[in-house]
Amino acid sequence: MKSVKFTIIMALAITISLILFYGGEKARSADKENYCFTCHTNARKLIKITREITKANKDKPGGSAETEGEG
Amino acid sequence: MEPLAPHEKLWVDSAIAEDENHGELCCHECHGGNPNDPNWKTAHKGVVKDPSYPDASETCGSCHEEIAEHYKSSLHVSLSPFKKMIDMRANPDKGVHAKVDAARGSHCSACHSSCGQCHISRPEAAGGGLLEGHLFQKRPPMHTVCTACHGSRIEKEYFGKNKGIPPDIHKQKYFKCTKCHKADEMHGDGKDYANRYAVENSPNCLDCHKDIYQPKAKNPKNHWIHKDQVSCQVCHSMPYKNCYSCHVGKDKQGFKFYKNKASPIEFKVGLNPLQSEKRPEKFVTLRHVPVDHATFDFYVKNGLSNFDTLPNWKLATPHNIRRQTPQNKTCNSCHGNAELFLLEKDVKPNYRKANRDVMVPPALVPKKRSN
Repeated sequence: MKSVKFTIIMALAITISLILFYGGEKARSADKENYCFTCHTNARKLIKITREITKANKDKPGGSAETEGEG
Repeated sequence: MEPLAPHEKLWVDSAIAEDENHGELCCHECHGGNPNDPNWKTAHKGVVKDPSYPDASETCGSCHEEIAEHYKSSLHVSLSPFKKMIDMRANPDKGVHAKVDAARGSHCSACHSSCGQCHISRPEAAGGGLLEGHLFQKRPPMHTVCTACHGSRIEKEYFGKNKGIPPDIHKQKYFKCTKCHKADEMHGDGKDYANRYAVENSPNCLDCHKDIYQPKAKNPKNHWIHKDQVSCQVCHSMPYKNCYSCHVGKDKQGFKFYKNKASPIEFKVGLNPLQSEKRPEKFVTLRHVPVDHATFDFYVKNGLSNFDTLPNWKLATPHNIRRQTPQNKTCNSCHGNAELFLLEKDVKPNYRKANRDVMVPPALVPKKRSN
């Protein structure tokens, strides 16, 4: 009986640790949430920054005006 | 193709975190930069926009080993036929050749693709910008990837955007590019092919239309009569775009430009320049490609001194297939109709030597039939 109890406890312990481990992976991944992710998933921030960039590059042409015809 | 607003090009869908295959990768693992720096200007120091180009082995290849192994042999990545063709036409003088090569690298090589520029973003050559907020696209979308680059010719043919010419029948059957152009063709197989028609996994009409020579098929007699004589496109493609006389250079501010003089819609049948076991037909549709003797004159005079080594009317497979076309309405729509064929008079005098092997001698134009 003791050995059955021991086996059940061990099985439970292993199961719980596996759940915690894989859950932890996800949690760790969420912990890793960083400025790349928070900024690039935020359209409002991106609009603000890209406007800044566009303003800074206002006088710089993006390409040649001499291109003619189909590419 | 709808252009993207600047912020749309960079926006990442937070759903990527739920992607069981890619969601656990942190941005900097592929792109570099400093994820802990709150200042976007300094955080982006060292960021690689497309970490799959030119070498995908450390990024995509760390999981997709088999694909990455042959990645560099994909014609979309290597563009090796460009180099081969230009090298064959180039001046053998080492100094001149080096300048031609640099011009090719600067202009022609800009239109490459990569894992990322098909499955994650629009191609850079077409303005870039993330597809679906960086959610990985197993099949590259047709409008924002394939025809974003293959726009002037293929897109306009396939979607029926050339005035007065209907779309490809396969488009009307809702075929996307990937229906015919499979991943094996796109990803490369390690072989350095001379041109796209030589690629072993490239599509063949007979892959689907297996039964056209069977007695029960529609019109089997005509298919048998013309088998190995003419390519499918000779009978079934509509007039298509040809481009003439492309010149490349840099403007006063150092920006690259090209000038392509004309892009008329024409239809010309010529002799097959790439006759092979796979393409045994004697007659094929030919497309005029934009290369010219003076294409690289901005960089070096007489750069393509061996221009006549290759034709600039090249084997073409126009993407505007129809069951009935002006040239297959009746036998004599083609037979005796010299206008359909690339005759000497159709080729500019300074291009005739280059195209000597593809021009059709008048005697080879099929005779008009009496019945």
